[in-house]
This record gives sequence, structure tokens and C-alpha cells, in this order.
Amino acid sequence: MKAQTQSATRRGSSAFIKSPSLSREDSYFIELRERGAEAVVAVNLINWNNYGSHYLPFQRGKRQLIQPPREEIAINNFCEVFYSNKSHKIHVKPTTLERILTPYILAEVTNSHKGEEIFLTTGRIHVATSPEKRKAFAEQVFSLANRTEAPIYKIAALKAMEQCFVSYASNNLIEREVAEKKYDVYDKLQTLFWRGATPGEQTAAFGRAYFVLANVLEIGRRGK
Amino acid sequence: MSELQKVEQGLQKSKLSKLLSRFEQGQQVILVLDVSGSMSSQADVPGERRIDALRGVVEELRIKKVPFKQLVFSSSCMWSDVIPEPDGGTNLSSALSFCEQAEAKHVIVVSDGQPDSREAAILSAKNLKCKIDVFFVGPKYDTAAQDFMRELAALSGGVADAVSFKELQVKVAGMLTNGEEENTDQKPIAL
Repeated sequence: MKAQTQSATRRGSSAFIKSPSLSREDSYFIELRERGAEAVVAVNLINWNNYGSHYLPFQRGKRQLIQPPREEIAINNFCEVFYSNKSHKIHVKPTTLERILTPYILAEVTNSHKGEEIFLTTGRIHVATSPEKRKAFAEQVFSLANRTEAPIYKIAALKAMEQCFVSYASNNLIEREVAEKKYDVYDKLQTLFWRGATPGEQTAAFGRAYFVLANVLEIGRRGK
Repeated sequence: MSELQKVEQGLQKSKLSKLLSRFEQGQQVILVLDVSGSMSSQADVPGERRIDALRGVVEELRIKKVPFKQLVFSSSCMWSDVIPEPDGGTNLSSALSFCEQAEAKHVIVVSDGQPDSREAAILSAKNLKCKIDVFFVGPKYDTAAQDFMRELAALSGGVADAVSFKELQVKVAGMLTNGEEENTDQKPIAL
């Protein structure tokens, strides 16, 4: 809240970044973490009831790698998946967060598809995403950012689009030559918005970088 | 700009190519970790088990954003980002066959002992047809195990080394990043 108040008094420094106060309905948790992090919020696609009998014998054994949720998590509900340094297991629990945007799913490995990116795996279950899910996620965050005009969401949308861009480029869903040119432009702008000499230069670079990625990914275009 | 500079510039990888090659490396470089029963023995530091030291090494590699895929093996093997409690035998052969099926481009084996079957492991390594680097983290006096590790690495022109867990982290990170450090000192945006 403090940052928003300070920003709101600096009117005119940038038309791109405004700071309206967010209503509760506009407060979202946006999952931007990537492989290497030890916790993630994902959409549960596992019927944990089916796992009871599978997991019970493992509870006394040494090879159990997942601590199933103690409370029921319905399919398509959000859950928190995290690695515990203490138990050396992956724990799954329902989330208390109200509104969430995430590109990740928690699913059984047998249901995996080619082209999926793995965030976390234990051989039996994994947290994964795909270029299509990343695109849908980037579109949701972009739309939220444009609707609310909140700087925090604009930064989140940029990061979501960057993740989507890398995923698309690595799966050859963007022509390589185009991807390289756009990334070069984005990378130069990125340097400017992190290390620009003035706030004005930084926000202008941020705005350009934002639309470079949105255009190349065809995000926010009407009449598609 | 001279012609030579232009040619050099053309040969340089673009930033996106570098980024994507890191992404691909994360799919094709496989860290094969021994989680057999013997990994519950004491590591370099008194009171610390080898398996816990190994967990620490992998955690450090992840913090440094070193890209790799992780395969754990004992009597059987599986993809897992979690390192389980040590148990069972050392079926290195099945782990190497698994890497072959996954079309690995580079395999790094970390083990503390002798496999269940040396012959089977050597055969699987020959079939693998990619570079295999081997790090021995067992007792220094076990020269027979070290000799086998050397033989295994030599098959593909890889490196074999007996290391402490501290050295292991530095060596694997150096091997997979080619000395390039991840730039993480980004400043927050001014709003």
C-alpha cells in the first residue's frame, strides 16, 4: 500500500504505470516461480482418494517421496506443492489463497504429454506446464494488468510473457529468426529498465519491452 | 569493423541461443545419483551422512541455477527431484540404460561404491554413446571401486575423479556452466 501511495503522487512521470488501489476482488496470487524453486502453487489433477491404498504401505518404508494432503483436494482445485528439507519429501496441501493464476498442474506422470516442462517430479507425480498453458496464463495476467493498471501486475505480466516466449522459442513455435531479433530488442530494453539512468527512461523501456513481448506472442490482440 | 570481426560476430551465439541451450541442457544433461544403502554411511564431515551431503550439493546446484535432469538409482531407478532415503543395491546398469532411452547428451554419475554388476554397467555405458563423467564419493581406500569408475569414464572419454562433497559441487557446477556464472544482481525497477 505504501508503494502505491508514493507512486500515485508522482503523476505525469509515466502514463504507462499508474497505481490505483486494488479492490479485494482484484487481488490475485500470480505464480511466477520456475524450475529450481522448492514450492509452487498448481492446479490439482490427481484424485488423492485413489492414492490412499498406494501410499499407506510406503508410510513405514523408506522410499516414500510424497506426503499426500491431509485434507481432500478436489480435482481442478488449487494446491500448494513444496519440498521439505526436514522430511525430504514433497508435501501437498490445499491452498488458502483466494484468487490464483498459475500455469502449473499437479498430475500423475502417466498422464504426461510431450513438450511438457517439468517443474518438479518424483517419478510418480509431477508439477508440469506446457507452452499452451504458459500462453493462457500470460494472457490472464496481461488482461488483469491492463484491467487494474496495477504496476505489480504489469511486472508479473512481463515475467509471464518472458517465460512464455522462452517456452515458445524452445519448442519452435516462433520462427527462430523472428525470435532472435525480438529477444535482442527485449534484452536491450531489459537492461534499460533495470539499469536506466532515470525513472522515466526505465518506465519507458519497460513499456516498450511489455509490448514487444505481447506483440510477438499475439497476446491481447482482439478478433483472433 | 574488420572482416575478421564480422565473421567472429557471426559465429557468436545470439543471446537467445545461449538461453535456449541452457534450457536444452536442462533436458539432456543427466545427473545420475547413487541412493543405495551405503549412502547412509558417514561423509567427509563427522556426523553427516553421505546422502545428506549429496542433498546439500544438489541444493547448491539448484540455487546456482545449474540446468540438469536428476535420476536417482539404487536397486531400480527413477526421475526424481527429491533424493530419497538410502536403501537397496547399486544397479548402475539400469540407470545407464534409462539414460540411453532418455537420449542423454551428457551423463554425470555420482556414486560411492561398486555396482551390482560391473560387466552389465560397462555394457550399458558402451550402449549409451555419450560422455560419462564419474565422481566417486566413497572411502578413499576403496581403490577397486575407484579403478572401476575410471574404467567407466574412460569408455566415453569422460572424467573420473574421487572428490569430497565440497569439491563435487564446485566441479559439477563448473562442468555444466563452463565457468559462466548466472547474473542474478538485477536491480528492482523504479516506479
